Amino acid sequence: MDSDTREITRMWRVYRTIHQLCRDRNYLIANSDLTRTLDQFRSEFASSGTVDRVRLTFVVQKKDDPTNQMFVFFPEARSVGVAHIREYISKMSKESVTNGIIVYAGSMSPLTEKVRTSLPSNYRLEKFHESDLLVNITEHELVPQHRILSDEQKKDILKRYRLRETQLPRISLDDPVARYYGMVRGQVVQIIRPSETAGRYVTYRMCM
Amino acid sequence: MINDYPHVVGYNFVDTGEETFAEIEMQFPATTPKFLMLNLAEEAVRATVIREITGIASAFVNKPRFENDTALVLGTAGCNIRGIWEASLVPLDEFATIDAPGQSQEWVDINHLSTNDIAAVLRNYGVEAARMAIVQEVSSVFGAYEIGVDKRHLSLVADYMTFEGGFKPFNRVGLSSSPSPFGKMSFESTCTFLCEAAVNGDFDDLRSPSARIVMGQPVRSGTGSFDVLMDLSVSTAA
Repeated sequence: MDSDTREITRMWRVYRTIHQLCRDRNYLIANSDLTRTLDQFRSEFASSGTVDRVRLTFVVQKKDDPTNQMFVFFPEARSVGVAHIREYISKMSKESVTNGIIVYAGSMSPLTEKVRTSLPSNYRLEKFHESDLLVNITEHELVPQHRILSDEQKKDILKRYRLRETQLPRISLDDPVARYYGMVRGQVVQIIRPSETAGRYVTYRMCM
Repeated sequence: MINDYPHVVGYNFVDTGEETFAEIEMQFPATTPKFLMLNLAEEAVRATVIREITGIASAFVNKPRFENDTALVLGTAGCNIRGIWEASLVPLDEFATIDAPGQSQEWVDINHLSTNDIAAVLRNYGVEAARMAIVQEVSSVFGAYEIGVDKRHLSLVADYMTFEGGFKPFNRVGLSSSPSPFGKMSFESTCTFLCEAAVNGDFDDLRSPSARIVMGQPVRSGTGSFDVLMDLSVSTAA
């Protein structure tokens, strides 16, 4: 298999996973984006033989709130620089979108990383390396179902079990599954594990 | 090839239907000192990497997961989850030796990878998967000796280990920070902990379940979490 074919297959998988990720975060995703075959992907985005990353960029909106949108960027350069971040932020503010994801192929310098994490508080720009998205980890048999709770649901849970926040088990902020769902510090995730004895076992973890 | 290497006088590619190989014929003058072909061949093999996944040293076919399962279970020495993800991009027909016409492009069932490298699971699949992997792996270690341990014990252990979002050891080292000497003694190395507690003049407030069991007291949970008091003056009056 030559390197171009490999690259196309790779990006096809990445593109599928990032759409699944958006779907699982309750964004509206067309079915055709989830079921696109490799050949369709090739003719749509790689007609020249290599993947045209700029054309991969897309924007999605929440199912229950069409004004809540998110950009997904695919920078063409292998290493992402501060200039890219600036460009994306200005594009986002022009469209009044506050959330974004960068899917990059190479590396991100520490300085870029600093700029990315210290954006104004109303902007959020997440990053995923392409290799993070080769496989949808939530489909693995060892990963149980995760569901992010709203602030209200979180309060209910703490009240019902008479718990303080610190008494909940924890999940790390950079845990792969927490990143997949875009969790922020303080959010609680409901985990529904299959159980041999109880059928289903529901537990919670708080993002720290 | 014959022009490039003076000792090679001929070669031939053979395909018997069952196996394919190349034959190379070499000639040396009778005065050449003896040498071992096997060593040279091994050296050449090591220097010629056709395909590899970093970190995986060897692979072998394991027992199928359940009876009459036709899927091959591949075991490997070494673990590289991301390497396997990358390798899964290569379509099956690239592997000329695996004969499976008409099969789906994905030759590895990527959602059923498992490993005893808990840290690798934690890094790539998250803390919940690591918890499940701990249960699975501990159970299989006991299973090898035909010791059945109830899954409830194991999941309690795994819950403890992954409570903080990462994983910490569940052994006497991890336990040594516990404030209850009896609890520690009932776990492992009784004498060590007993001597330590005696030397340090330690005390136990008998709150931890193991400490209470050691002393024959009901555990302070469930129906043991409260006392029933009776107002004797009322009962005698009635």
